[in-house]
Amino acid sequence: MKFTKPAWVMHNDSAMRGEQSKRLSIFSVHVHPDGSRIATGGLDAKVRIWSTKPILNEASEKSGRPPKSLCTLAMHTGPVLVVRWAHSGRWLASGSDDEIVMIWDLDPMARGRVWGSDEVNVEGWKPLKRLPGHESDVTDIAWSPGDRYLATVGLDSQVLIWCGFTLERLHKIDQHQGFVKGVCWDPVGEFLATGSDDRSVRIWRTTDWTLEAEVRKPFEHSPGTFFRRLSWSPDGAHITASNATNNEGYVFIAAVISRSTWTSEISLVGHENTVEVAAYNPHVFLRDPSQPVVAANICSVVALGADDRAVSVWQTKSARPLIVAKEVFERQIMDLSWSQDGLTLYAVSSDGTLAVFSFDTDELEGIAPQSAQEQYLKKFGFVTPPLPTGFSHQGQQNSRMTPPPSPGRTQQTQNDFDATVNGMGGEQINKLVAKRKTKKRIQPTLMPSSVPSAAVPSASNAPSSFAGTAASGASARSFGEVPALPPPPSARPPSSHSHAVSPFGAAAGFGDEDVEMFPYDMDMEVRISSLDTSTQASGAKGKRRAAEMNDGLVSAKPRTLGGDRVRESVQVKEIAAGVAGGGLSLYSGEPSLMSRLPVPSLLTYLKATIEGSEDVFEGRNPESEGVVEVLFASGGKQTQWLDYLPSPILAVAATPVFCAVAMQDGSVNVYSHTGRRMMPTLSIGSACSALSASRHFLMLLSCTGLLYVWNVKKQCSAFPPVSVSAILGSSPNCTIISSSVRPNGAPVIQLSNGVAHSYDTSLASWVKLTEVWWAEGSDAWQGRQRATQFASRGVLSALESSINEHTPPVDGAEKVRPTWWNAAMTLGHLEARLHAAKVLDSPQEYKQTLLLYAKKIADEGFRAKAEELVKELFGPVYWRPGRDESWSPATLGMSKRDLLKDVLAVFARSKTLTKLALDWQDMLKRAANGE
Amino acid sequence: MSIVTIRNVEFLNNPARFLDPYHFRVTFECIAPLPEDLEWRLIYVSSPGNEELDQELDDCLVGPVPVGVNSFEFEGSPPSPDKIPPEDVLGVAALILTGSYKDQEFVRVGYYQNTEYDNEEMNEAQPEPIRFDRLVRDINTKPRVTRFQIKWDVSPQRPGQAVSAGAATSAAVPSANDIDMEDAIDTNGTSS
Repeated sequence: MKFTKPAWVMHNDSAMRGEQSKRLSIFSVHVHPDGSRIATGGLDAKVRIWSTKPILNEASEKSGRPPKSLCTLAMHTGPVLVVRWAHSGRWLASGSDDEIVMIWDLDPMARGRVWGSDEVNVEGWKPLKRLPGHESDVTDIAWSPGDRYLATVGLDSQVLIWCGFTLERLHKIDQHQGFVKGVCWDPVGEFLATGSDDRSVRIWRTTDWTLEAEVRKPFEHSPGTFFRRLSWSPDGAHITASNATNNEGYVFIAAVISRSTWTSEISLVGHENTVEVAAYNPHVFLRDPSQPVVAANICSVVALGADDRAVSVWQTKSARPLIVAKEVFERQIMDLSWSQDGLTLYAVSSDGTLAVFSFDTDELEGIAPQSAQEQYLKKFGFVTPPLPTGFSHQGQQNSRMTPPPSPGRTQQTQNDFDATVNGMGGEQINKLVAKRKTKKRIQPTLMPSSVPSAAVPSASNAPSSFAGTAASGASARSFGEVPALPPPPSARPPSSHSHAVSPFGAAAGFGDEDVEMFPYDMDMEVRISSLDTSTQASGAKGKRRAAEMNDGLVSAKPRTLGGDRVRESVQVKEIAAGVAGGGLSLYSGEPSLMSRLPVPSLLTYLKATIEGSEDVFEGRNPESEGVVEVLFASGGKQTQWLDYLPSPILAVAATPVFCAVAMQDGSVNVYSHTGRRMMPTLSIGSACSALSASRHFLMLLSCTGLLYVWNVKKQCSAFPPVSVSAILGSSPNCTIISSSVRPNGAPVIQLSNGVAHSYDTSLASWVKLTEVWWAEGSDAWQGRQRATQFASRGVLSALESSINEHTPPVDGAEKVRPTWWNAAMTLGHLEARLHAAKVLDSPQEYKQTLLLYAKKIADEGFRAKAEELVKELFGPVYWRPGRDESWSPATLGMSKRDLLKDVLAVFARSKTLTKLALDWQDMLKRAANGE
Repeated sequence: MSIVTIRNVEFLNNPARFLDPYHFRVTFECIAPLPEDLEWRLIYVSSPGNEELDQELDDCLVGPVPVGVNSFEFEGSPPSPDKIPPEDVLGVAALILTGSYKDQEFVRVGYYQNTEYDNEEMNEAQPEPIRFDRLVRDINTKPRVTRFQIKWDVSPQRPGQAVSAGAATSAAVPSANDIDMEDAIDTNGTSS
């Protein structure tokens, strides 16, 4: 066997040129019946046709004869998911994300440079017919034997049958309950088989298109896959179906389903992940080539491609595969195709490459000629329905693929003859006459009253502004930026094609359609023609139709964005290491901060759990190609909603009120729990270093050192953005250990130098919450206590123990300290902590500290401090509720005079302050009695 | 899937004087019958930063459009000089051709147009006010194409309307192995 991977077979991002062009996923490959060309379909929305000789023959590859790329067909507006040549070789069918099936026909005149691109088509193919009918992505297509029928399947759960001659739609099968992702015909012509996400393979009779059988057992546990391409053996005896499992979903297999019993007794076991595609070699094989072609002597060869990135080839007489090709691709296999001679197998992958396996006849033991199959199939005695009269696939001289002598030269002369018309040779062109558009049509003179006045353009005098705004709608205007493909809407990731790569990109379905292009919502704007009375009727009709369409969308069950999607767990991997301080000098931040505010690593999966519930808010970054998305899952299981983002996710945060996501490009989205944007997308301008949320508040620390806190409920900032450079200082070794926001909106920033800060809005200044300094002398330092005692642990004690962990205080025991050291340090520490408890809104800690403080003052006998504290808590002597607004009777929701009671109780027990306590206790009593 | 695909746009008078009408031919392929007219607009963008200053040079309707390859010729008036900011007259401007169906734009083709004086002296001296009668334009014929997905709303085909008669009427497909590059390239390429 020979193996080759031609690097030049690729679907690339046409926005890029040459070296930079990026390989895009290839979803489908099919060999032309004459073996000389293949068609591929890709994420770039193009069908490409390549010659095979340069793939199979090195000399041909080097000489450039025949040319490698034969044709590029760019008429689809969505990724091309399937390409299939008709058996006659004259037509090519393609199916796309854009819901359309196209039939292409050779057009010797349509060669040459493709208008609007750099491509040259050396072989011309023209659109013969457009087959609309599917209401979602078309995933698979199959031509029946003799091209009698064409079957197409898609994510609209439908199977459509078209006449292979007239290309009319004959029948619609809508019995599948899930996306249909694979279709194949019985070589006898009696049946059609389809594979669906409803976990069934169904077999339909071609005589009346009714259900023959439904096979469910092998698929009971089958996971979601991009495709479920299946294949029917050339002897008609078996269907090999992809995406089956054994052992309750733990073993990934392909299921071999027997004709007539429609049960699966045989499994092809070995792939380490879901099998995506099965493809039978078109030849029958003989177990003993010397024996006649009878059922008992026939076996077949089938190839499998799987999500484990391997291709295997099996001969049904053996329990082991003939070959297994691992590590051939970097991503899952999307399609397989055998050449008609049965000797070459083509495989394509979502990694954007094509691989080719060429076999020698002796490697494929027992291969029988095509005639053996034809002969054998006759025994079934099935007679295909008569052809529509007057139709045929056979050419007049019965010469199917006769090469005309020197095809190129003949056209040359024709082109000389009519050289002005680019790329069309002697083709017939209808000459049409352009009618000037009369401005009369848009005169708003007889305006119906129902038309909202805002929608009426000042058309009579400003036609150009009307053209720019009303009709061209949302289109990208700036010409300088007009790319070859439609510009992505803002909600799309920068790699504009990446969405369909993950198996769920297509399974989600809606995402592709909604984001892909620019659907024009007819209901959004009043059609201009409806302003004219003469066309009013049709305008109104258009509006009504739009309304009906919308009604149709409202299903009985409330829908959510992405709610029907299977939730798949993602392995957390680092895609890109964090950058030490988004350190570009372009950022306006201070250079000294750069290396100290790292941007988090880019991970494949980020999660924030909503406090007090099982709900999670997740962010997913694709590893190479794919979409950036956030999703909200209730109970950690059911996806409630999702959103796609234009830039990779750096951080997520969630509270019982909102969810927030910070992106690499410096923008921040804030969603409610139903997925609505609660604020406009914030544009910070630089990547975030930290993101934190608590109740209504969201805090972001940018890598340029600016700290933002927003109140999401009020939609305002808690304070103007403030730089952390003031607290970080200039020492390069001082870094931020943690940063978070409190439910009251106060930020808490702990530094590696052992100081924790918050920003006090009323003081317009950073304030120290606590610092390791106090550890050197304060009795109240949290670190002195054992870690296990933190039963009722508040934010400040947590901070202090964290500081202890990160910045172990210098052991002061050996140092000689001044006399008042301990008292001053303890009181200072407790006073600082009282302020901190206020800033952080921690009433329990405030009260606890206040009592400790009272005890310390009492122990030391500092009467002046004690008296001032008492007065502060008592307030104006004659204060009564409602009397003097300048003094606040409460702090942190606790009555100051109630706190005073507790403080006085501490003083009363002391030796030095008993008298003071008794006097003020008396005062309190009198104040309470209103004296 | 677009029903209408532009095959070629030819400028029939290029280069030309600035105040000459734009005369060109659009050739397009239509793959399904369209009951309504296609609308084509030609827009002159003098100041990319300010959409208000865009000038619609022509707006025409074409139809009914039969299936197949069609072409039409189209004449657009030159931009009105008094609507162009003096600083944006010379140098590069953009010419945009849009195609719409049922008020939905499905294609937008952009060209760069360079405007200068017909003589070196004026190009260097730059007379004040601008002498529009002495200006010439040259359109770079490389198109920049943006396609948009729209609702074509084509009614489902009726039986008996089949356009094909089976593959027998289609051309035979010769082996790709015999194709020679020289035969193929530039036999038709005239556009760039």
